[in-house]
Formats: sequence, structure tokens, C-alpha cells
Amino acid sequence: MVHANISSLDGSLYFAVSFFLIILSFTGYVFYLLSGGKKIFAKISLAVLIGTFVLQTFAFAVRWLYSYKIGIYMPPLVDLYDSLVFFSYVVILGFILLRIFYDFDALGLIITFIAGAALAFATFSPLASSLIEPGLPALKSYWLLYHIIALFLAYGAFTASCGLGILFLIKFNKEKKFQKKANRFLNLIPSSGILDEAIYKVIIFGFLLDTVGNVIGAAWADNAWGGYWSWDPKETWALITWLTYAFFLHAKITRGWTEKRMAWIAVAGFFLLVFAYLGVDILLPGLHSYATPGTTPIL
Amino acid sequence: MNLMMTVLSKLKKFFSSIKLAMVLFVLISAVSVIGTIIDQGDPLVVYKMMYGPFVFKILYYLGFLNIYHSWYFIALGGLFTVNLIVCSLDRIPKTFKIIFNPDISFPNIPSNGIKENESKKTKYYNFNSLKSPNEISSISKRIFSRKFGKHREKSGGKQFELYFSKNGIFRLSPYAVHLGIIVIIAGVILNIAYGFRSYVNIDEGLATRYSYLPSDKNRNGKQIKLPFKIRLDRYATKYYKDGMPKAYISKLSIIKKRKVIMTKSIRVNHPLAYDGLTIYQASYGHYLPSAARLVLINLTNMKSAVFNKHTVFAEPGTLYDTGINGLKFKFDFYKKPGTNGIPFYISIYKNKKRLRNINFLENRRITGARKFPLVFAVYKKRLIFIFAGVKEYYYSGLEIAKNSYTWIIWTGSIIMIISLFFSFYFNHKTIRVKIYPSESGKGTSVEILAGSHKKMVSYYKKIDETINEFKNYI
Repeated sequence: MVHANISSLDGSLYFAVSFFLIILSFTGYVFYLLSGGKKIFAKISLAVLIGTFVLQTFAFAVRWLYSYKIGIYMPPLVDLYDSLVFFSYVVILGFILLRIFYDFDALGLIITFIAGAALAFATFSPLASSLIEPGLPALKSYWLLYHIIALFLAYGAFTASCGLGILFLIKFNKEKKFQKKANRFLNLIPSSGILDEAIYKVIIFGFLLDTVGNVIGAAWADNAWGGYWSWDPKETWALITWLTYAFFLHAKITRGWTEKRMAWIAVAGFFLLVFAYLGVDILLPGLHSYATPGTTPIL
Repeated sequence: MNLMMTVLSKLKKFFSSIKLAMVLFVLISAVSVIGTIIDQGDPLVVYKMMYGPFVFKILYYLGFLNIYHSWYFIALGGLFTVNLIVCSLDRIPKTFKIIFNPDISFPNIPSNGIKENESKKTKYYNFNSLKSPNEISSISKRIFSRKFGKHREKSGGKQFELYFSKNGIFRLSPYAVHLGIIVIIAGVILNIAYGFRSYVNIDEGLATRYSYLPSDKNRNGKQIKLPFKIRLDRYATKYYKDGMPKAYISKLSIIKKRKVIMTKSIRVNHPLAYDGLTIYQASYGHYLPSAARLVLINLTNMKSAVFNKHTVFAEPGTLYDTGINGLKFKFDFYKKPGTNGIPFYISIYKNKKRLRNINFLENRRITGARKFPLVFAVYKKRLIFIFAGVKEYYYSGLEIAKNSYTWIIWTGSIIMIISLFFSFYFNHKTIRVKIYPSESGKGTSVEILAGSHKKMVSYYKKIDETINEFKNYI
């Protein structure tokens, strides 16, 4: 039997619906590119995506209220399912915000793909369950909310930077070849100069929040476990992610590092991030493991 | 002497380069990854079993089993710190000069414009006007000071060189970020040098004055004498309705000179701090198997004035005296639960020979207000066993940490975060203007050089707008 997280009680039904909205939006962006940039498709897709965002906000409210109703009193940011749906939520939020400042319709294709993938994983993977279960007692803390929100906003920004990096690499490699020839696909991608700047701006936002989130995490660990740093795999991978984007920032001011290499770092950084976020939990058990709750000796 | 100077200057160049920092970012990350793949800090025996003696030896000598304390990882950390300090100290004087005492003379621009690799960092404009240099100078002061701040001026005769600069002070913020990180590192070092994380298990009801440092080799860590005694008054696990643990709670008393100084319940996220030490809930367990609390009532002896009963905490499978001559009993569990759903029974023994097994019965009527069913077993109208619950022999695992210097780490973190914000969102904006009579003799030449050290496209757009506005006036 196919496993699926679809329940109106815990709000997962609304996330499942939002998954189909994201597919719709993705399809819209595909049509936008295929039609050579008919604005109407991009507009519909964006409208659908804003609708998705509103629906997901509602779904979070439902989940949160439900957790209070059944006496768990925790924000729904505890297990793998929670984190995946929240990830898709911040990725969509990030794109909508970026869209206000830039004419980045082509980015929508990548963003809806990533947000859709996260939601598909949340809804259909047997590893993820939408049941609201009490988390480990260590999670019962007001630090949780700030730690998770800061880090996931950073994740959202880093995801956007990866999407922008991909667009940059497509555009930049072709820009020279087709210098004079009009290419209707490439024309839909903003100029590489704008992309380069957007990658930087998105990454500095992500880096700032990543720093805040990790410091909060250390303070919380100090309060809950008696040590601000334990070289737990998740912590170590968070450090690696942080160092990767620190590398990006230093490369930016170093001569000889071209925009193309910067875009590659943005793309590579995202893959490290996904490993730090999901790979660690699924492959390397530790203090932060939420794939297998209760198996660790730590309370 | 000369050789030493060369070596020193080369060392300084090496340690002050950003490229070294980038190489260190990669190396630290790469080494860290190994530690996430191989479990760290387990007893050596475990590794021997996992990897076999040969691979174990290789891993051991490479330091992979305790990589975050290996000499090369610490060396990388040291190198990183030196790099951070030298690099910052090396650049700060230059940055100070740019902020407080910049060279305001307009650079010579070749006739074919600025070089390609400079074009991303600066934008160059030149045009002619019919207005006089004096007029243009006052117009540019009016227009540019709005967006580019205060100006400095170097003028001689009819030539003006103007330099506008805004937010220059924020050029120092990256160094403040570095300072924050150095403060964090200092806090970490102080914590390692003067702090500790020690562990102790205390049985319920007992007190201890010692805790133990974890040792990587065999967990027989060094003993630490605490400045007070800790007594575990009570340990309890609280559960949600569905059986998931909700909280692990230890009620602790701090005892000094045989006096209880304070009593407090601790749980995860809610430690107890006293006398420079912090006590955390770390684990729990049973130091003895759980036992059944059985109340034995001797019916052979009812005439005596004293109601003849006593309590036995019976571990499953162990023989206990009944209080009646020669009769012993054992409390145990059925392999399959009995028909009435009570999973345990009593066996009666005499001279190590089992006489019979007796079942427990349940009477819901006589429980009354307590709402607890009375579970009891009767042996031949001589003896009643009342099951009065389970006695658990808990110990609580405490972590006792001395981390008096963590406040330095948090101070460093706050410095780092605030300075990151300023270094990201407050950019130094400069514009240079040179105004001089045209060489042709007619009108005035104006040259403008605008720079952004972050190579931002949008910034140049804004400059373009300002320049266009400026052009309208002249």
C-alpha cells in the first residue's frame, strides 16, 4: 500500500493539496519557458504559488492548534515531516519575496521543483509521518522556534542562491556563444550581472541567519545538554555549511575568482546543505536525529 | 639579519593572505567530515570489534578515532586563528587610511578609458560643460553630498578634485566580525583550560561528592571532587498519554557541611546552577531490577495484638522468606499472561522444593475511593500477598559542568552577528570628481569615478541615475 500523509486533522491534507498546487505552478513555469516567455503563464504560476503559500500558512496553523489540542504544546517543527513541509514553505516564501525585487520568472521553475520535491518526500516517504507526536523532552524549549526559523530562512535563501547559480551558469556559458543571436530561452533569464549580484545578496542574508541560527543552537545545547558544542554530526555539518558560505564571501573579495566560480560555489553549497539537512539525519545518527526518535541515549 | 627579515616578511605575507583562509576553510571541512563518518570517542574495544585489528590500527594512528582532538586538527585551528589575527592586523591600517585619510587626488585615467579588470569595480564618466569650474564644483557638492556624504576637496587654481565618502566607517565591520570570532575562540580555549564536563550516576536516596571526566580510552575518567555533596532525593520519568516520555525529572539537594543548602528539581533544558557549577539531567537507569512491592499478611497468628504484616520488595525469580517457619516464596511472571490478565504469580517453596503456584485475584469492589483494584493472592488461608505496585530502583545520570567562560563565547557571538549585519548591509560609497578647464580652451571638463568594492550592478544603476541628474544641472 502506498503510504501517504493525508489527514485533515493534523493539517497534512492541506499540505498534500499544496503539493498539487506546486505541481500546477511548476507546469505553468514550464509553459512559460516553452512559449518563449508568455507573461500570462508566469503570472498564473506566481498567483498559484502565492495561493500555495497562504494554504500552507493555514496548514501550519491547523497543525499547531492541533498539537495544543492533544496536549503536546509544541510548535509543529519537530520531526522529519514538519521540517520538510517547513522547508518547502520557506523556499516558496523566499521566491515570492525575491520576485518582488527582481524579474526572476525563470527561477520559478527551479524553486517550484525543489519545493515540490520536498513536499513529495514529506507526503509519500515512509520515513516521514505527519502524526503529531511529542518530541524528545530536550526539544521542549522556546529555543526550538527561533533555532529552526532562523536556520530554515537561511536554508530558503541558500536554496534560492542555488537556483540563481544554475540560471547564471546556463546564461553565462551561452551568453558568449550566442552573443548576437537571439535565443528565446536565454532571453527569459536575467543578465548574468544581475544574477551574480542576486546570488551575493541572497547568500549574505542566508549567511547572517545561518550564523544566528547556529549560535542559538549552541546556546540551547549549552542549556539542555551542558555543552555548546559536541561535534555531533549535525553540528559538524552545520559548521561545514557555514564554512562553505564563508568561503564564498571571501572568494568574492579575492581577485581572480570569477562570477562563474562563485555561481558554482552557490550550487555546490546547496548540495552540502541538503546533506547537512537530510543526509545527516538519514545516514549519520546523532543528537539531532529525527529519523529515528528515541534511539539515542541522550534525553 | 637580512635573511631573517625576508623569512619574517614571507611568513607575514603567508599568514595575512585570504587565500590561506580559504584553503583552511576547505581543510577544516574535509577533516571534519571524517569525524562524522567514523563515530568519535567510543571505547577502543568497540572500534577493534567493528573494524578488525588491522584497520583499527591504521585508523588509530591516523587519529581518526578522536579526530577533533588530533594534533593536526588542533594545528588547523591554530593556523586559522593566527591567519585571522594577522590578516586583520595587516589590513586594518590600510582600511583606516581609506576611511580617515584617503588619497583624494583623482587618478590618471588613460585616454581609452579604464582597464577591463577595473571596470567591474569602478565606473568612469567624462563630459564637458559650458559652465565654469567654480559653478560645477558647487553643483556637484550639492548633488553628490546627498547620496555620497561629506566631501574632501583638493583645489588649485581652476582645478577641483572632490572626494565624497559615505559609510566609510563600516569598512571596519568585517574586522569586527573577525574580532567576534577571536573572542569566541578565546572563550572556547578558556573553557577547555578551566572548565570541564563530568558525569556521575547517583542512586535514588544517595549522595555523592565526586564526578568523573569521560575518558576517550576506556571511560575510566579522572575523578573530580566537588565543593558540595549532591543527593538524589527522587527520580521520575513523566509520560504522555501515548507512553512517550514527557520529562525526566531529578529532585536534587545540594548539601554543604551536612546542611541542605538548596533543593531543586532539574530536567532537560532546566539545569541547576550552584557555586560556579551547572548540573544537567543527562540520563537515567535502574541500578537494580524493578521489584514488586508485596505486603504479606500472616493469617496464622491473627490472635496476637499486632496485625501481622510486613512488606517485601520482591525481584522476579528470587526466593524470599514468608515469615512463617520454613516457608519461602518467589514472585515471577507467566510466560503467557494468565486468564484474568494478571501477568505474575507466586510460587511457595519449602526446603527448596516447590509446593505450588498461586494466582493473583483482583477485587475491584473493596478498592473504594482509591480507585485502585486490590490485587492479591492467598495461600491456604495462612498467608495473603497483596500486590502494592512496582518498586523501581532508579539512578539518575547527571552531567556536572564547569563552564564559567561561556559568557565570553556569547559575547563574541553577538559581536560577530551585529558586525556581520553592518558589513553586509552598510556599504562604503565613494565618488570622485575632477573639474578643470578644457584643454581646448572652451568650457570645463568633468571626470567622475564611482566605486563599489562589492561589484554590484544595481549600485551602478543608481550611480547612473545620479550622474544623469547631475548632467541636467550643468
